[in-house]
Amino acid sequence: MPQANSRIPGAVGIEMAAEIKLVMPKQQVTLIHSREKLLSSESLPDDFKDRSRSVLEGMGIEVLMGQRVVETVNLTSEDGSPYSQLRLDRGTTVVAGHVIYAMSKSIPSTAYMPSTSLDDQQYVQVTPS
Amino acid sequence: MLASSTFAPKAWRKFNDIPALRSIKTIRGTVERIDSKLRRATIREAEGGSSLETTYDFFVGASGLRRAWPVVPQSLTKETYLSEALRHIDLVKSAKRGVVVVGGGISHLTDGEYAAS
Repeated sequence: MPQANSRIPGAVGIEMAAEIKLVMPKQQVTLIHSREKLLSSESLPDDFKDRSRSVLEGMGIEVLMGQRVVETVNLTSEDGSPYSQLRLDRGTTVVAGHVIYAMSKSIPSTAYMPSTSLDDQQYVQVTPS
Repeated sequence: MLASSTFAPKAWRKFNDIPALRSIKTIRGTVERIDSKLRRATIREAEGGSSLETTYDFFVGASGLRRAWPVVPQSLTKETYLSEALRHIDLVKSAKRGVVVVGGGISHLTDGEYAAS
């Protein structure tokens, strides 16, 4: 288990948005990403990152880049169905019937290892190869 | 897996359903402790919760990083996974004002970086 920073594969949100739109083409799908490029944390060519955005948009997915969700308010419509209001850092609000948070902090699963083998972030210390 | 109810069951394969793994002894449970000097593993079995100890010549730790729902399923059995996945798919399908997916490539998620729950 090599030492690694908390990396969240950016592909998860892209994959989820694309799968939903593929299987439910009539469903409105929006992907919100905090950086200016998709897959921003991956060491991939810019062309690839730009292409992933254009493919999503070509499918009819609305892609909002460089924006963060700063607040979520969960509400109920007049017909009883739930929805959320997402306030973005630029001041705009996005309404959603359902919100999927496709990012999570990854934590090590090394509790079973001898404590002397772990570093201060609970990753296993390994010899570089 | 989280969009198609027909595909969801196919995404989870039990060990017994994989021919290539049938010659390998599989224990469903949690490794609680590894004693690297004695080369001994303490395992808590998933069914029944009893503890067993086994010795080894080599230990390969491939437990990876722990992630939260919905990035990975949290269920430990196919049955609970299916109900978890199908419930999620239903919420997505029936969402009347569209679906918003938050996140498309963040490298570090620190406290305070996201105020949303």
